[in-house]
Amino acid sequence: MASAASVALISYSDCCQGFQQYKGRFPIAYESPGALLFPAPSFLSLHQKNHIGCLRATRRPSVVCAIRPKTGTVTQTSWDNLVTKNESPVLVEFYASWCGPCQMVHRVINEIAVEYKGKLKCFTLNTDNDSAMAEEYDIKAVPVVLLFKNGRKHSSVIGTMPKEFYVAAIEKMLAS
Amino acid sequence: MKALQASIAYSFPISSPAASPRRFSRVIRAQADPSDKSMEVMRKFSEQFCRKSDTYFCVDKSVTAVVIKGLADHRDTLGAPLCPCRHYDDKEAEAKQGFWNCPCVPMRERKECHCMLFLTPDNDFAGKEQTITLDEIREVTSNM
Ligand code: SF4
Repeated sequence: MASAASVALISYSDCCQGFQQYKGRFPIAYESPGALLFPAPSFLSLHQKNHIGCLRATRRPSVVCAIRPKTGTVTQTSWDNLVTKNESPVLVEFYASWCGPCQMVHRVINEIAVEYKGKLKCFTLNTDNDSAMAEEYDIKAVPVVLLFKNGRKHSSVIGTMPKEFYVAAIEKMLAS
Repeated sequence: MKALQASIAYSFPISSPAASPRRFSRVIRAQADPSDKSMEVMRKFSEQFCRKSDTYFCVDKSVTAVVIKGLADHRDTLGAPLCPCRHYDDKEAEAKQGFWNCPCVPMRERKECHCMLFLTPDNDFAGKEQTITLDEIREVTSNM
């Protein structure tokens, strides 16, 4: 039920902005052992109904608030500044435009970005637009999540994993 | 990020008044949608292969829909349904080589689909369905 807790953590205003930016895009709840189970807390559903930007979402029963994208985008040009020279630990999610599972992972990373605010910076990189970085880190199957500490790659998570898996890898890096 | 792009494009409605909603959606996405022909071919293929291999679509059908779109896109641009969940140094060469053309070798040999298009029933993400309609695909990907 970790994700239930994370929903509750999002402040009211964060939620509002999320609705506005997403313009009706919604995540779909899926059930898997704990990790991605996303129960809709009632305050969110109420809130949805009052929000113009989110009218679409109210058509579906299992839909919850789309969290404002908390991840930044990184490219080859900004890589040094954002990743290797960043004093904060960094997470980079490599994805491809038409990769379905990448979108699932992206939702998880968005949650993580909220929960680890101030402790971890989260970025995404589109491998279709930025081959150079993908090749440098030898990205083959996507999604791939790389963790960096002090500018150096600490660990990587390849494929679509439950949220706990990413959290465990992050905790391990932060503790190291 | 895609959502952001969308909102930017919304403020510059550059499509002609006669443009259909479909055309408009192309403007928003800044990435051409695959052709209807390819979409239908890949949709049918996915349904058939699902049945043939005793696998199921993901419980989150938007995953299925995005992957089918990706396969259709590669069919249009490369002439072969190259797996959309990988990064390639050279897509053309890869499509010719064939290892990652759907159904890829790992799928055919070991029922491993890291794209989560074909999931064995024991997979946590496997749903109960082996069918997906074009409308479903359009609906779940309309806001991408
Ligand atoms: S992993 Fe293989 S079977 Fe699955 S979509 Fe990609 S090419 Fe097709």
